[in-house]
Amino acid sequence: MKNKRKFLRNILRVFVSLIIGLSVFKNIRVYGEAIKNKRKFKIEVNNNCTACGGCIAVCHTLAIKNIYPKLLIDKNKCTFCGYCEQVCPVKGIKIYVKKS
Amino acid sequence: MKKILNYNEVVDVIIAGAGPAGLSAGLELSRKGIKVFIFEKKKTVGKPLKCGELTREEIFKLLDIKNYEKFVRRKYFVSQPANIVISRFKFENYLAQEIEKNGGKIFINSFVEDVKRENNILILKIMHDKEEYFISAKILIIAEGIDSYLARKAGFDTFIRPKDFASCYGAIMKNVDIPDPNRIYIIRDKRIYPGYLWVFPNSENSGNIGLGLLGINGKRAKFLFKKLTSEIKWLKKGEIVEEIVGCISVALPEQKPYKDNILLIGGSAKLVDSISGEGIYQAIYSGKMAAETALIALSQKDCSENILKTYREKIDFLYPELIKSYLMKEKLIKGR
Repeated sequence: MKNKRKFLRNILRVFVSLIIGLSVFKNIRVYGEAIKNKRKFKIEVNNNCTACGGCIAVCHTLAIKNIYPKLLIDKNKCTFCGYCEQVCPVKGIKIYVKKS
Repeated sequence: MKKILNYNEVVDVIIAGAGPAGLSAGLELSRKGIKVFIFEKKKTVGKPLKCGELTREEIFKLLDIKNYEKFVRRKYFVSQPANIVISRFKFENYLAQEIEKNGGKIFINSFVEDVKRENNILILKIMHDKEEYFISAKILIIAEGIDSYLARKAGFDTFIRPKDFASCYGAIMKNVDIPDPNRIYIIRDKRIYPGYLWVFPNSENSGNIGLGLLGINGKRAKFLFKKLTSEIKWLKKGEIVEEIVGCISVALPEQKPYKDNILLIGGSAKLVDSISGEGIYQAIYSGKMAAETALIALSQKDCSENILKTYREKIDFLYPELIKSYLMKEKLIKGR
């Protein structure tokens, strides 16, 4: 009996981990597509921006440049990781998904 | 502008950024009669405000400035070393005037875009009104703060993760009634932990009030600031005189802030205290030491790494304190 229970539990574990694994895998695939199909995404700086420069420190591809009093974003370098959006104190930068 | 920049001679020292760090380095160098050019992105020196302006009285001793009462907004009687609030606009403008008196030059509205090294001399690309100029220099001092694009182009790895980054929003407010204007207030809250709200009173009914929160918090400093100030009784009626938007690095300081012909000072080298967010003192101290190192390098006519590494030894005493408060911050994050 005990062995049977253990066996069932193991099967359940494998099943659950498979589901979790699949969902993670799916997320990774979506992220990969984000980098591939860059045209789907759009990054914009709006009027709230005061060019304080926080996003530049956090950008790991050097895509943002400060030409005071404006920011300049190099759309070819940007990977849409979202760090700058997360860190901005005034909601000055935003990433959109284009609808088409 | 054009005339000066189409300059065939080699400039001794070029400083990128006219904040407290860059200006104090420039002042020390220009006092010794060395040709200094300073480039500033903005149209004015010292504005707009980016920080809480709290610093130590020692900075005036370091820079050898007497009669400094005019820069001090208020002095507090506290046990910590940071005990005065200064007016950065007045202070930085005074430094800029002194530098120009001594023969240095400050160019506003222009910035160093790129740097190259050829035959032991740096060639800098400078942008002014969307036009390019080239100028050569023996030593470049980068003092652009933590958001320095140039430092990373020059090959320093100063990328900061959101975990090690604090975004700040604050204001100089009037019409508030502060219970005791001789004190510094640190107000904690669940929503911004381990960040906090600071109140540095200038008088009984005005002060520098601001908020810093970690990059991983996910909320916006501006909106939290408005919410929190409306919840506190004595800040409710406050009106904003001047907005402060900025960012503070709460990362580990740069271990190697020098390279052939290049020095990093102040915020660019992440010399900022992670708990108190204090950076003006460290900026001015490192600026002074960078100036001393540059003087030695120029007199020996060798600006390579071997000579410039003495700069790291000179600012070494800042490091234990900074690392200690970084580790404390890490503990605070874990206990969240």
